[in-house]
Amino acid sequence: MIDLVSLKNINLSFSSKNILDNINLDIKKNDFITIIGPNGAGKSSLIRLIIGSLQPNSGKIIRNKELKIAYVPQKMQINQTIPIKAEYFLKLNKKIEEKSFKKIVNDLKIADFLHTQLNDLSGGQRQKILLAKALLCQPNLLILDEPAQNLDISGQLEFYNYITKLHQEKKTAILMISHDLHIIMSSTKKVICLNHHICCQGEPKIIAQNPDFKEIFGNDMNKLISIYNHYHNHHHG
Amino acid sequence: MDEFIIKIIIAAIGISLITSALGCFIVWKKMAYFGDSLAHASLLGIAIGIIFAIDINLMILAITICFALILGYLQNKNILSNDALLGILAHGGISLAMVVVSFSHVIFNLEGFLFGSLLFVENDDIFLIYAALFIIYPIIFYNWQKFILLTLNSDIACSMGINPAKYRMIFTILIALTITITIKITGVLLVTSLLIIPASIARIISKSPNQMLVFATLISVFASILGCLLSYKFDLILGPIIIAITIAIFILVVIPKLTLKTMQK
Repeated sequence: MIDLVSLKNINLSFSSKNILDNINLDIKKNDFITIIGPNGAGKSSLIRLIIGSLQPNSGKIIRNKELKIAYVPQKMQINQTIPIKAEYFLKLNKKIEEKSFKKIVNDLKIADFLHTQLNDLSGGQRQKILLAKALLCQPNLLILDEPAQNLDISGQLEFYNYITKLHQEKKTAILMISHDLHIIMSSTKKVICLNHHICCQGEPKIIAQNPDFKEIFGNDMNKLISIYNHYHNHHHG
Repeated sequence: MDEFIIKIIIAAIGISLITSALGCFIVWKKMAYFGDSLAHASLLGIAIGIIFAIDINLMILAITICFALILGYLQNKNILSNDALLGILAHGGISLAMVVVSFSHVIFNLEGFLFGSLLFVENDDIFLIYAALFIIYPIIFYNWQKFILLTLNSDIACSMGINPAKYRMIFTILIALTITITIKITGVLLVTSLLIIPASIARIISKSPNQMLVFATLISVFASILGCLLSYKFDLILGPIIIAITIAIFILVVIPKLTLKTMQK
């Protein structure tokens, strides 16, 4: 299968602090990859490299000509000083056909708060708007940074179900940072455990047997919790 | 009214049109202190310009762009906090300017440059203001949605193919240009007020970015015209009187808003 994005030997550091160390990663069409790892492990930086808003210190990022990325940030990362309605935001910098706009509005059930100020939306509403904005770009790679972080359990289920449906029906590749492995375990095809370097990666079932992963999550998948201590049998220099 | 005051008013309107548009972005991006620092640093441009008999406008523009580039470079190096860097920049600029001035025996109207003066405005300046307007407005309006998206979240913008570094550079140059042409009217100390006060008032009463731009422009133009007339009639210092008027409008807008909020609680 063709690679949408291919990262080769990527290194990234900020003022001599090593953030990412020799990362190799291929994202293919129809991939569903979940990145996990402790705070400050470089997860968001990895995503920003792929988007192009950060440049690596060394290594190469090869992007397919057909690549169309859309990005859903964490909800807190939206500037709150601009007075702007949800609909205005959705239509920013993009000519959108009315038909596809209506379809996404219906699918995500966001019609009721299109005319609300972004600042006045609840966490769940704002996350849906951010997702809608991404979908309006008609991406073949959807990148999400802890998208369901501030949602309640039913909101999380709804959100992840939608992502899964999108992946299955539209064959959109998904790259997601998430700690909600217990919910997406059945959808995600590949889990990457990141702590500055890729500690372990693979199918959820296989990775669940990996000693590194076991140390993190324990044996009982059903008891996975979103906050965990990250232990490894190797040391980080 | 004589020709003199009409000239001043035309200049003030031009400046208001520019500062209110840029001011919206300064408020959104929380860059008030950035604008202030560049304005302070521009005093060095004025000093060098006067002493070496180089065109002052050119020197201000060169110094502000230089300082903005140095600042951008240092920010990327993560050596110091942004706050400290801006402080060093602003006061470094003022101090250097004063040192340069004290070396020569040129008469330096410091108060005029700090607070602005009517006497500075010449035909050339009016030409310059409107030339700047014809550069700045098309750039802002052509890229309006891109700038807003970048301000909301630069990573979303980047994923949609907008290059944040390029637009940051464009924006910085526009700010430098704005400061250059505004300084003669408002003075070094009050440039930022003309950028942020009308936009902040507009923020309180606006529901969309476009609305905010329109309100900020109306407020700014009104305050400038009234300020010019008062300054001329009562021989008041120009920059401070314009700012005082905007502050009065701010109070008029903010008090009902606060009362309304308290009543809702």
